[in-house]
Amino acid sequence: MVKTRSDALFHLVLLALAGWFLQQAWHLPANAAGGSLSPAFFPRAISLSIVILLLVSMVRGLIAGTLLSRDTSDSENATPVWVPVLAWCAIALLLVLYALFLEPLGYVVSTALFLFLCVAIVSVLSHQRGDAIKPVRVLMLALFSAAVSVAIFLIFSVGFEIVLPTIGVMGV
Amino acid sequence: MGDYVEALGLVFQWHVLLVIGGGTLLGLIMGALPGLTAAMAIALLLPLTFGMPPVMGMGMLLGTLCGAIAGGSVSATLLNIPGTPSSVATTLDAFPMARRGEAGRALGICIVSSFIGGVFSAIVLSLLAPPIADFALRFGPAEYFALSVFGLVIIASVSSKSLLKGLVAGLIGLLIATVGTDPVAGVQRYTFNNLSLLTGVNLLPALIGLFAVSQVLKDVVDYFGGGPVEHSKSKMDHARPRWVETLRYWRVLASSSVIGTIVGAIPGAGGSIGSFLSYDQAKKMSKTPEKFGTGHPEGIVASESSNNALVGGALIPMLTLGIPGEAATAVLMGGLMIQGISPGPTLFTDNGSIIYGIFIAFFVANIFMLLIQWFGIQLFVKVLQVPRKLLMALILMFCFIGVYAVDADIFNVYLMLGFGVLGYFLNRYDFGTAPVILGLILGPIAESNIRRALLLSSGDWSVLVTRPISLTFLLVSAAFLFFTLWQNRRQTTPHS
Amino acid sequence: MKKLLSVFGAATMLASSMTMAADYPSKNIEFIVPWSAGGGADNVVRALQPSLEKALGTTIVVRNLSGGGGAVGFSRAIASKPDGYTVTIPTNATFTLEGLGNVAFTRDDFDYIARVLVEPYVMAVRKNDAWQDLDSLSSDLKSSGKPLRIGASGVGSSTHIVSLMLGEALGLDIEVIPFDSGSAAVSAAMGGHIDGVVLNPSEVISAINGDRLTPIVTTGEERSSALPDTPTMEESGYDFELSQWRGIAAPKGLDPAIEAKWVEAVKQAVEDPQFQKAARSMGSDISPLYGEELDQFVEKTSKPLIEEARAIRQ
Repeated sequence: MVKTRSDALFHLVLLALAGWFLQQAWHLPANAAGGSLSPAFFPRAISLSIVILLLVSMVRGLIAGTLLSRDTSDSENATPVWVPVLAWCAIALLLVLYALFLEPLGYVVSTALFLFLCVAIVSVLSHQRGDAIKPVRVLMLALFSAAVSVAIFLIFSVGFEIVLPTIGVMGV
Repeated sequence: MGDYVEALGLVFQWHVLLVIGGGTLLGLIMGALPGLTAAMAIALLLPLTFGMPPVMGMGMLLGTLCGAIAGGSVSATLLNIPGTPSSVATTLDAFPMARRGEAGRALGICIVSSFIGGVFSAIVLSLLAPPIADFALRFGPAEYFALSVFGLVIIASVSSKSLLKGLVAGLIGLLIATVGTDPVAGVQRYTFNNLSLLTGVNLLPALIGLFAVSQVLKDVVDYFGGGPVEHSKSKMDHARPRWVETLRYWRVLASSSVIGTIVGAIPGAGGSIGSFLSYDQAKKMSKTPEKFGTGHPEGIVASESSNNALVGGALIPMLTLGIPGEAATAVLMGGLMIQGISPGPTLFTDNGSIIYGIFIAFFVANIFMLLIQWFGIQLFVKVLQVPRKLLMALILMFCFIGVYAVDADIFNVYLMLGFGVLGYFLNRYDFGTAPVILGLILGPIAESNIRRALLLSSGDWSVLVTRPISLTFLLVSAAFLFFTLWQNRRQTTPHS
Repeated sequence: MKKLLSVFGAATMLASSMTMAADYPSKNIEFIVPWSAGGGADNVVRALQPSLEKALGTTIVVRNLSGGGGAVGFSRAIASKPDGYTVTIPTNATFTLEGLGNVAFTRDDFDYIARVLVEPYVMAVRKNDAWQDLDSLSSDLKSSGKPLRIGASGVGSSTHIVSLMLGEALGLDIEVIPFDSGSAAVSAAMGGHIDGVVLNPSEVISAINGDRLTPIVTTGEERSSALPDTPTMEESGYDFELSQWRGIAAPKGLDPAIEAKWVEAVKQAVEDPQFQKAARSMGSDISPLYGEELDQFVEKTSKPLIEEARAIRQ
C-alpha cells in the first residue's frame, strides 16, 4: 500500500481538529471562582499544546525527510494496491451501516447480516481470479451468521440480562 | 483468633466453595467478553446473594470480581481487546507475544502473575488494611493532582517510537477528557446538547475502539498486504501456566504487586493506572528496556500482577472506611449493605467472623481463578484457530454488543467507531494509542483536583509543594521524566 | 369518516388498554436506573427487585443507563410507552436536572407511582472539638470569620444545591466544593482536606460510626433512624425541611388500573423483612406515599430545588 505524503496529511487533519477544539474553547467562560482555574483553562491549554507540538513534529519530519516520503514498503506485493484500501473502506462503511441498522432491524437480523457481509467482503476481495464461488459455501456462511447471531442474542439477553434492540417479532 | 477459626468454618463448606467457584467462572467469562465489566457481572449476581449468608454471598461476588479482572487479560492477550482499562498495559506486551505464535506462553505468564498479585494483595488486605486506609485518607486534591502528574509521565515511557508523537497522543486523550460537564463549575464543554456527552466520553467505547476496532481495521489491510496475520500454530500446544519463567522475575512481581495494592487502595485514583505505573517501573528497572512493547515477558508480569493486586487494594478502603474506590467495589458494597452489614471500622469489631470470612473467601477466589484458568488455557488459545476472516467479523460483533451493553446507547457505538478510525491512523503514523488512554483516564483526575486544590487554597499554587506527598510525587515525576529521556537517548544513540 | 375512524381508534385503544390492565403484567418489566450499578439508587432497586417480582408475578430487568448524570436514563424512560412495562426511579436528581436546564423533560412528564424511601440530608463535619453541634459550629465560624468548606457529591447535584440552601437558612458562609462522588467527598472530609459534607446518611454513616465525622444537623421531617441523636433543622429552630427520596415512576399517561397494581405490589414489597433490613443498613427510612399525597410531596420538594438549581446555572 502506498502512503503518499500521508504522514503530512494526518498531521494536517490532527492540526485542523485541534484548531477546531481551540476555537470552540474560546467560547467557554474564562472567569474562575475563588482563585481557581476557569473551565476554559484546560481545553485551551491542551489544544494549544497539541497545535504547537504538531507543528514541531512537522518541522522535524521535514528536516529528517520522513514527512513527505513515499512509503513503498509493500509495493512488491502481488495484490493490486487498491485492494486493501477498498477492503478497509468497505469494512468501515459496513460498520457504520451496522450501527445505523442495529436498532431499526433489531439485534438478531442486523448482526446476522453484518457477519455475512463482513466475511463475504473479505472473501470476495481476496478471491483469486478463476476460482468459482461455491454456492454451498455461501449457504454455509449464511447459516453460520444466523446461528451465531441468535446464539449470542440468547446468551446476552437471557444469560446476562442485557437489553438488546428487538423488533418484537417472536421475541427477537 | 476465635474469629478466624469461626470464619474458616464459614468458608470451608462445600456449598460455599461451590458458589465461590461458580462466581469466579462467570466472572471470567464476562470479563473476557468486551464491554461486560466486573461491575456488571457483580450486579448480575447480586440478587442471588440476598438469600445467602453474608460470607457465602460476598464470596461469590469476590470470585466474580477476581474472575472478571483475570478474564479481561485473556481477551487482551489473544485479541488486543482490553476488557477493562487496567488490562490496557497487558496488551502492550502480551498481544505482540501472542502474535508471534506464543499465545500459550503469554497466557501462562498472565495466569501465574495474576495469581501471585492477587494472593499478595489478599495478604496485605488481611494484615495491613487499617494503616493503609489511613494513608489513603491523606490524599487530598493536591495529592491526587500530583499522583495524576506522576501517571502522565508514563506517556513518555509507553510511546516507544517517537516521544514527540506520543506526547501528542497523550494530549489528545487529555483533550477528549475535557468533553462533558466541567467538574467544578458545571459548564458544558463540547457537548453540543448531546445527553450522552453530559458526563463526558465514556471510557469503554474509547478503549474498545482504540484497541480492538483499530486492530481489526489494521488486520483487514494486512490480510491483503501479506503482513504477519496468521498466528503460527507451531508453539500453540505449550499453553500451560509458566511458573518458573514468571518467578524468575520475582523483583518485578514484588514491586508490581506492592504498587498495585497501594494504588488500588487510593479511592478514585483511576485504579487502572496501577498497572501502567508497574509497567513503567519494570521498564525502568529492567536491563533490557528496549524489549518492552515487543512481547517481553517482564512487561506482562508487571502489568498482570499489578492488575490483580488492585482488587485486594480496592477492598481496603471499602471494608475499612466504607469508601468504594470504583464501580465494581461500589456494587460489592451495595451487596454488603443489602445483607444488612454496613462496612467501615465497626465491621471489624461487630462482625469479626464475617470480615475474616470475607478475607478467606478472597484467598479462595484467587485459588479458583488459578485453577479455572489452568484448565481453561488450552481452550482459550483455540480461539486463535478460528479462521482469520471469521475471527475479524466475530471480534467486531463482540465489540458492538459489548459497547451497546454499557448503557444501551447507540451513541456509544458511534463513539467506538470514531475511536477505532482514530486509533488506526494513530498507530499507523506511530503516535500510539496507549498514551490516549492514559490521557483519558488521568485528565479528569488531574483537572478536577488541581481546580479543587486551588479553590481550597484560594488560588495559592504553593499547596502543591508544601504538602509532603504531593511534593514527593512531583519530584519523582520529574526524576522519572529525565530518566526516561536519558534511557531513550541511550537506546537510540547506538543505532544512529 | 375521519371522526368515525378516530372514535374507532379510541375504542380499540380503550379496549386494548382494558385488556392490558387485566392481564398486566404479561411480560418482563424494565426498571430503568439512570445511574450505574452500585449507586444509592441502584442499591434500592436491587433490594426491592425480589419482593416486587414476587408481588407482581413477573421478572423485573434492571437496566442501568448511566449517561449524563441521570439525564439519559430519565429521557429514555419518558420516551417509552406508558404501558407499565417501563418504570424508573425518581429522586431529587429528577428535579435538579430540570432546574439546571440540560434536559428536555420536566417533573410533569412522569406519573409518580410511589415514594418508597426517604433519607434526609445530613451536614457532617470533620473532627474538631469546637464543632460539636450546630450552636458551637456557627459561633466558632462567626468568631473565626472563615467559610465552612463543604463537599458535595457533584456539581449541580441535589447535595450541592441543599448545601447552598442550608448556608442561606443558617446564615453561614458555606463554600461548596463539588467532588466526583459522595464517597470522594467523604474521604476528603475524613482526611481533613475539607471541613465537612452535606450528603445522605447512607454515604456518611460509616464515617460517623467510625468516629471520623460529627453529624451536625439533618434536614428531614423527623430524625433519621440511622442518626437518632442528630437533631433536625426544625428542632433547631429553622423552618427548613427537604429530603432525598427514592420512588417508582412511569412515563406520563399510565393506566390507573396498572398504577393500582403497582401500588399494591409496592405495599407488599415494603413489608418484606429482607427489604426492611437492607433499607436500615443503607441508612434510609421506609416511608411509602402514594396517589394524591405523593403528588403534593413532589410539588413541595421540587419547587425549591428547581429554583435553586436555576440560580446555579447563571
